[in-house]
Amino acid sequence: MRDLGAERKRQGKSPGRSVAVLGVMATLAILFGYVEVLIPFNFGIPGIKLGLSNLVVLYALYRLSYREALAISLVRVVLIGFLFGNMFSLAYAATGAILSLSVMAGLKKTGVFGILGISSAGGTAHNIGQILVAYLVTPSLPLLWYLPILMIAGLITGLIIGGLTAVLLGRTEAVFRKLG
Amino acid sequence: MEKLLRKSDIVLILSILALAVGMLIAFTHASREIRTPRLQIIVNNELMGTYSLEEDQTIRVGESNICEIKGGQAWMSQADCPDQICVRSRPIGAGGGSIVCLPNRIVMKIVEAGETAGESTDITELFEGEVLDSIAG
Amino acid sequence: MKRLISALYATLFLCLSGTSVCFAKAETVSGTGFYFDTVITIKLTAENADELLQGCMDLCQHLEDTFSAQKEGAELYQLNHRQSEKVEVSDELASCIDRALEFSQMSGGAFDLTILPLRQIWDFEGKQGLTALEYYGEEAKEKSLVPTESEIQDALSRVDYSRVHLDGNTVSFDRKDTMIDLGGIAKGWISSALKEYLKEEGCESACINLGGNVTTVGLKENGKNWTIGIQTPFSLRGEILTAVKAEPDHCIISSGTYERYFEEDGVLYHHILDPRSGYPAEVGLSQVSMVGMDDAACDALATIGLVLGREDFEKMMEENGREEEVLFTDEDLAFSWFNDGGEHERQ
Repeated sequence: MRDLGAERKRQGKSPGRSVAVLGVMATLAILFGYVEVLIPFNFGIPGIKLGLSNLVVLYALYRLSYREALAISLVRVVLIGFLFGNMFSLAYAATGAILSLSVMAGLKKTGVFGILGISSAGGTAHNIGQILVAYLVTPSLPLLWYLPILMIAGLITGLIIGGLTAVLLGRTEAVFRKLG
Repeated sequence: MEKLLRKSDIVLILSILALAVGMLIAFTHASREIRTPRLQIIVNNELMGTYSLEEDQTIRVGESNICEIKGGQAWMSQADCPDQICVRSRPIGAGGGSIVCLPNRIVMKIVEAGETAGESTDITELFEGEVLDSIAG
Repeated sequence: MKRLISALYATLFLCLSGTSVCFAKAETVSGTGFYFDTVITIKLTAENADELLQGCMDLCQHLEDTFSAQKEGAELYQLNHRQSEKVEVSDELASCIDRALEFSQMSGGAFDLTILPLRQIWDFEGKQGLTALEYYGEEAKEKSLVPTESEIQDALSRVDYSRVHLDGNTVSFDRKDTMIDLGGIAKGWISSALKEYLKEEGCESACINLGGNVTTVGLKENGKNWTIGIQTPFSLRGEILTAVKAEPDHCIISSGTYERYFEEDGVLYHHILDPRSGYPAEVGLSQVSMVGMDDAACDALATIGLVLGREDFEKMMEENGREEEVLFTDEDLAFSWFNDGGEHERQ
């Protein structure tokens, strides 16, 4: 896979695309978040999601750059929060999203890790962020128990999403090359 | 240029896994410690000490009282107060309860008692080991 | 792009700060205090639980300084050691005296707020369950724990609730030697005051044990009724006869002969004195327990029950349209409910 974002930077071009592309990706992220409800991924533990919309964000991180990925991530969090959730779910999702993207971007920058490792770490970080907010709001002992469990869940979903993103990146390389 | 899975990835994933499992073990151990009923002895509204009900022991409280723990139950075995109400109190145990020596301001209290109060309406069950919230008398 | 991201960050920050304001977490605390010559234990659940617990203890201290007839400097003590026969008192003292008069009248003197002189000559302090021999030792041959007939008649001449008048906050006495003791109703009045305080401060779940008088606010934190046991007379403290699931805000208050008594010549003398005879009441009951929402009423009624006996007491309750539930415990520990519509556990 090629990091087109870094390539465009070297060419002196802005690594970003037009706002339209970002808009499309943000919309996709929101749609994915909505649609994943159709995929039964609940193991009886509340708070376990596949996190399909993270696929788009991870994709953007690789295909474009950190800044685009961040923008897409924040837009989808805010809009999903306003459309389907409330003030509180927004706080959880935002913290998880920011933490996860920062971790993934940081790991990616080191150049040492592959996409599966980065995505797993991202998934774990996402869930850690959510528990953090939950604990700040209502400190309760059972919450602490959730932490290791959700960490492991984050690992697994991260792996899955990472794999899917890798496949997607490979299949769409040609498309992006065409778009210049 | 970007690889799918590298050695460092495996290290990363395994370390996160190890961390999570470690936390689970630590929490399980800690919670078992916290959940056991214990005896607190409070003198003049200050906590004098917390004692395990599992260990038979005799505790002197100041010059005036002696508390006894034996077979999972705690009671006041001796007191220098005139009315001796504390000595004539029913022993308390894992089910909860308290014994008070009023003149000497000593309170023996069970903390982290079993949370089974109010589940049953059968009076006999309420007697044996179930937790009462309070006693009027 | 930069502006977009900054805008998003700003929105996020606002939302996050919003959540911390909206959330309030309730805490459960419990505490013990020593007031009114007894122990008070409070368990409550509220947002500012620690504050409320301290508030309760402070209220207890304040009320002890109001209602104690033994503590020099307390308002009631001062009232009993007054210079003039017309005294202006605080709202709390006036309210409690008012209720005490209410029940003195309702019971026809079986409950009498002016009983203090009688109580003073019957000294139950430090003799719990003892016989004269045990208490005095050798001197028991000459000394008696029981006051003499003339001592009792002297005291009785000073006991008469009709000599106390209340007009607003002004208490007036017909005689100089009339003294008020609120012991039979004060604890109930105080637990009611604590309940009111907690409810005003937004507490929805609490259980207070004020020297054996139990009162509740709402239900337990887990949504269930508070389960309150009723002490078995003449047994170890903590042995229960039966238990009651308290309805929200109800109290369970017991009066028992076993609480304070001594023995002499094989006769049991207990602390529930009949203000009409001057001697401990003899009605075949060892305990009367009241369940209701008016704590002061329950406190007074429990004592009245032990003085009037089952028949007269049931009649009084019906004549006055009282809705409180009553548990009578006989001397042989058989117990039965009255006025409860068959709800409670039978023997």
